Amino acid sequence: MRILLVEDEVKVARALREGLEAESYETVVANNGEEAFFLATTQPFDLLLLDLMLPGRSGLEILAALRQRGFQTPVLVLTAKDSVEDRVQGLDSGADDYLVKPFAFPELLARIRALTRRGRGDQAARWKLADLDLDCATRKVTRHQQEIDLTPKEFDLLEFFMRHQGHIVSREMLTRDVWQATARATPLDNVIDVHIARLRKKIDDPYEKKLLRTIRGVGFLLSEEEE
Amino acid sequence: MSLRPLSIRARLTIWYAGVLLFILACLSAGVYVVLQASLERTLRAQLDRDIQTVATVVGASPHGAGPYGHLPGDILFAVTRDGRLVYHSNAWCRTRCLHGAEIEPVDASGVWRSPKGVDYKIKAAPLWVNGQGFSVTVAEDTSLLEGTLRDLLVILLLSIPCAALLSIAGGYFLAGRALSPISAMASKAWEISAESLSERLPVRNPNDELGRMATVFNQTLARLEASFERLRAFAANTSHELRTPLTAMRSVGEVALRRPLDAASARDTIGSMLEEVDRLTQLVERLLGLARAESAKTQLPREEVDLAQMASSVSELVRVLAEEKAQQISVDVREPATIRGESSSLRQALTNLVDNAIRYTPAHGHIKVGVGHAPDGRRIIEVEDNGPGIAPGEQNRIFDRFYRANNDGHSRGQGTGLGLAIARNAVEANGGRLEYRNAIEGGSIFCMSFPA
Repeated sequence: MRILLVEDEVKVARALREGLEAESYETVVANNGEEAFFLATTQPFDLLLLDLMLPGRSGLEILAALRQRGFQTPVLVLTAKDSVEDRVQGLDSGADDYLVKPFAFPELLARIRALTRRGRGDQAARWKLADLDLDCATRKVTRHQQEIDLTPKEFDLLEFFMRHQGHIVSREMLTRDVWQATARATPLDNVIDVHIARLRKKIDDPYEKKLLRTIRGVGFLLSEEEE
Repeated sequence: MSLRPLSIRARLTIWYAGVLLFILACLSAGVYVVLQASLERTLRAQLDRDIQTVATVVGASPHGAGPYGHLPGDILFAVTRDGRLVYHSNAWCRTRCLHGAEIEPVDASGVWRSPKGVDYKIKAAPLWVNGQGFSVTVAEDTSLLEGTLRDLLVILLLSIPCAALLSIAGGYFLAGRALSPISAMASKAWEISAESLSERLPVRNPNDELGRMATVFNQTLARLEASFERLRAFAANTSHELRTPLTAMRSVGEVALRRPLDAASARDTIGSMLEEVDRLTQLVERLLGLARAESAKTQLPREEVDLAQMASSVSELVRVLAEEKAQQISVDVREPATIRGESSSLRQALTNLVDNAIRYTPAHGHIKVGVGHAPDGRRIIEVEDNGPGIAPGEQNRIFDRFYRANNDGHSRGQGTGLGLAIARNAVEANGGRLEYRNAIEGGSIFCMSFPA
């Protein structure tokens, strides 16, 4: 899978490329709009990661020009501007999704996964990780064949973790996708902490093998692998 | 070519002088016309009197002086019968000789102009004496009348420009006097800058127009000064709040680099730094949100918001936080209330208030979210707790950004100090008010109220 990363900030570009390559995405970096336009029109890519604030031609101009020439690749826009007008303008010029800087890297990965498998449908009815089972239809959770009683919110939370198993989930992702809140506020952060603690108590504490881990400063990870 | 707009002083002067000139011109024209009419009336009356006199004289001696009878006196007259001269006065004869021409009216208005350029007003009338018909012609020299009018005209034409010049000078002086306080205010205002906002314009008489202007200007300055002061305090607070996570990041990183790192401690160090980054990010986002809410106070989209429904959903959201402290949360809907507003910002405000109540209320406390109507009909939603309440000295500062109530022991110590500022901003942006009062049995009540 090839990703074209358009980012003029060298440090950010390098960090993102290393991170993406660690996730086995082949990443090509363009430092300005002209280079990005040239690469996008001459080589095949599966995804375009586009910073809007570029020297020379702005990201929006590049995007509009590419779309006009029939460029079909999904585009994820990265920007430091997050007013509603900017968002609308970005989506109008043909962006598929929008991520506001500074963003959490796990969030970027989640968005990339969502964009590149879009249309394939990932709505599984059942999720399984080690001896933990989750059934979306009956909303039943079992571990080691023992049924675990979860509140509706805890179930939603666990379902989200199961869907992203093996990948780090950031607080931003939980805020938006599980709590459907627009902004991350302190009260909500605390609410998330309490729910995580309670969920952990139910699915992990009684068992030898711990599945839900906190990655300090980044987020949470539901995974079979030990550290 | 465009004319530079004149100063107010010059315009006032021009107006003064213009108006004065207009009045003078009207007055002069009036005086001239009235005087002229009056002089002419006098002349005509004199001619009538002359005819009377001549009639009396001729009646007394119809044939006394023969065909060319001379009568003494200054009256210019001639009496004719069937076109032949019967009498004339010595003056008539003299005048005729003097000008070398026959005295007779030359135009319809009865004026004879002698070859020497002297105008005479002529009047002729029939006269009957003893059944005989005569014709009397009298003349009056009009040079006296014309001279008077000419003198008047000269006086007027000389005095009007003088008056105009005087009025320009006086007007310029008066306008300058009247405008001098404004110039003084302008130069004083010019000196006041962001650094000297505490200075004020002098107000000599607060009840006259200029005094009112200076007062209004001073009030504007006071508001400006207050907002500059708030801005300064805000900038100072902000940089302090930003410095805290930056310092933590820096020292964690520097300390970590001083010793050899294994994978676990590197992970720990980076994680710790990332936590500070997260704090910074959230702080910046909230400040941006506040700034945006302030700059767009009137542009929020409005929709129907059911306060009771909002109260229960927010209570559900944060119920786990209360449970952790063994606190009770209850929703008390006294009357249903809907308002027009933007729901996500209002929800955020209410969430902050309830979270605040949970945070500052000790374990086993009780938090109540009430919805209803105030006595004056405003729709209210209030958050009441049975915690320690807020000391009177702190009550007016709790809505300030970065202010944290000094309530040792009860705080979770995680707030940014922006929650109440954000809540108040959101409520005001939706046309409401957020107020604090102490509960009767101790504890705090934060009340949002909106017009019905």
